[in-house]
Amino acid sequence: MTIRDPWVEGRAAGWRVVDVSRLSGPAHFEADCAIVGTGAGGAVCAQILAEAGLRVVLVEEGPLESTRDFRMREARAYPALYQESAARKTRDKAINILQGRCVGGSTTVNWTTSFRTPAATLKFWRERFGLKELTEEALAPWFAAMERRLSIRTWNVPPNANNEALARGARALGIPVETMRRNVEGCWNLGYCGMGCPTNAKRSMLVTTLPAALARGATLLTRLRAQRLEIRGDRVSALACRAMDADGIHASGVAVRVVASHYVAAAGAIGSPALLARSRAPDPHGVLGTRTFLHPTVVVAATMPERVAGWSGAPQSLYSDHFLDQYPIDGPLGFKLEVPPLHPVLVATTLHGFGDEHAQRMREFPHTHVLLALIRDGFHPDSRGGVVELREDGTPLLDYPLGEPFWEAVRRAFLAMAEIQFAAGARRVCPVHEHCRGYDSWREAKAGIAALTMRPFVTRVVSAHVMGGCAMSAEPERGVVRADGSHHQLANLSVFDGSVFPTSVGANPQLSIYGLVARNASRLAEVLTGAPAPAIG
Amino acid sequence: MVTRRRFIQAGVAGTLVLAAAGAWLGRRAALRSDGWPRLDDTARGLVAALAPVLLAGALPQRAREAAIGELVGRVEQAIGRLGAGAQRELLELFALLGLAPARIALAGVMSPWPQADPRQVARFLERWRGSRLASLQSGYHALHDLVIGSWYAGEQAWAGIGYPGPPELV
Repeated sequence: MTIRDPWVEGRAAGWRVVDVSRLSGPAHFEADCAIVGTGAGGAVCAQILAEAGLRVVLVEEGPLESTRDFRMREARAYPALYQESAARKTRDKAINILQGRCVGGSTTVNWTTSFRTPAATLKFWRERFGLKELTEEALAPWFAAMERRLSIRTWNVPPNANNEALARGARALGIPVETMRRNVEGCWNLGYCGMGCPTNAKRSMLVTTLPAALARGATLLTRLRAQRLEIRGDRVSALACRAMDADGIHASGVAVRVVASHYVAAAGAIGSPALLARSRAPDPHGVLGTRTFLHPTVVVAATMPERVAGWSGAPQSLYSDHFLDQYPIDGPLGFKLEVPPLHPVLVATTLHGFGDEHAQRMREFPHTHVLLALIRDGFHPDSRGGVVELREDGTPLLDYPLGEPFWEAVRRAFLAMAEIQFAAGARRVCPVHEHCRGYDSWREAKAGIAALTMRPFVTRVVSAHVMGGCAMSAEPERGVVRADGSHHQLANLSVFDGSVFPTSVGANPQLSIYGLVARNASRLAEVLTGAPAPAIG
Repeated sequence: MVTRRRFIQAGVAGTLVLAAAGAWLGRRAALRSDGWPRLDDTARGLVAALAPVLLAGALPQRAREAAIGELVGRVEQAIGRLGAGAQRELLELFALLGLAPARIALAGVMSPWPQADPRQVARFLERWRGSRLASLQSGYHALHDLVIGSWYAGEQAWAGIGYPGPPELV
């Protein structure tokens, strides 16, 4: 059967899409609103503004890849679709960050996990950052609208064996496990969400809001890096961009200027603070780029007696929040348990050791089950996240020191995951830690994990959720933007992406971004048009 | 014989003294006209010496040299697709390890890479892996991920780990 590619059809129908790396001379675009980034924030904003009748130009550094390009091969997908080839690192290189860089941003490559912003997180933001309007009740209609728009609902298909092991182990220990909500429609249950959905089942920005915006006349400029906002007084006067080279890595191609009445930074929680820093945007209180959070994640692999085939079937279809709620939100760091997809490169590079030891682990690949603990950063007084800095060439670099509260949580997380895996019947359990060769029993694991040295590099730490850096706050002393995303100092600039979160979310962030941006972009549409924003359809 | 303590001392001093040379050599390597990094013969020899150690037990016995040769090409491609900053740092690392004094002082490998004793290569990787110096630890992780990742990205690695490859969409 033939799977339709909305981009092939849309471009045939006249969608305005320009691969700027192919332009031979400088170019100039004008719009009512220029949006930097096409991920969860930029794309939702683009649909809302375009449907309100505004002229929109979207700037995307990555390539346009769609249905037919998605071949479920890591060798192709990671360099094409991810920031820095899926090997983006923090400054000291102790944390590897998975983040999309393509049309649709991280929504093109995420694992479809959809949570509303937790009530406890919103409460913390209201109390500590003065964001009084961000109540569950006020946001509920926006979440509901985006859930309808993106087909977000509970995934009631039986879990794959990798997720089933979490359920089995947790049940044996009396730990509650819930079923995930996912943004899919007619999912084939293949398990390759992270390489771009080849069947269009994932309701990413690529098949929903971006096509809607383009159908309403929006212009999409791809392979174009937003270098800097030109600022005059308290206003942005232009967006200066550079085309990417053929290799997609260096921005040394033609110069492109976009002039608009309003500008939206939606380049993600490393890209947006970096864009503002390169622009020398006013930052009178030194908050720009600070408090960047990662949900730093640690991993435990287990060898199961049964075949797991973790590459097959929907990833992250079950989860447990049991360990998020054990302590007060600003106490010892809580963590969320999830189950990732397992593919050869992702697993081989994550597993520690080399030579025969590593090869033996890889031979057990079909029987390998993996749990992740996403550690909730940004609430404990000593969990202050990282800082986005600029390299000499202007590209961003996140400095994220891992402090003592984090390492304390890692030990609890290793213990919790190992116990669940043994309860699920694991033959052998091995935290991803350079000193660990694996444990044959829960008793051995308990003693072994208690004695492990916790420090950078020795404990493998990864992240797929970057948040913060342009925090929302009521007062300019503690944030870059207000609760509606408008910049505290610049009159015609908004930030609409995960960078506005003043702490981590404490849940996979995509739906938090969709809901908040739907609300804030609708308000912006009203300001720019003087008419009520259209409903999200 | 280089003792562990002497090795660590040499490592600290060597890092300081040789980083400048590595940076200069790396920058020269990165300044090719097409902007696409190429590994020189020394760096290719280094990768070819690391591969049988990092991938011991995984590389095929049959047509092993051909497999390693192909893998070196894939490592080169993988570097070319990293961000500009990471490319620069990796080329500096390769340039540094290509210098005989650095190879001996920092890695403890006495012969040039193509003739390197695999046991010395393994000890070098273990030392960097277990080092307290962030630059050596991150160097180990970069080599681990590049070489091991490039191997398992290839279809010829999949049968050995029971991975059937992606499904056919029919």
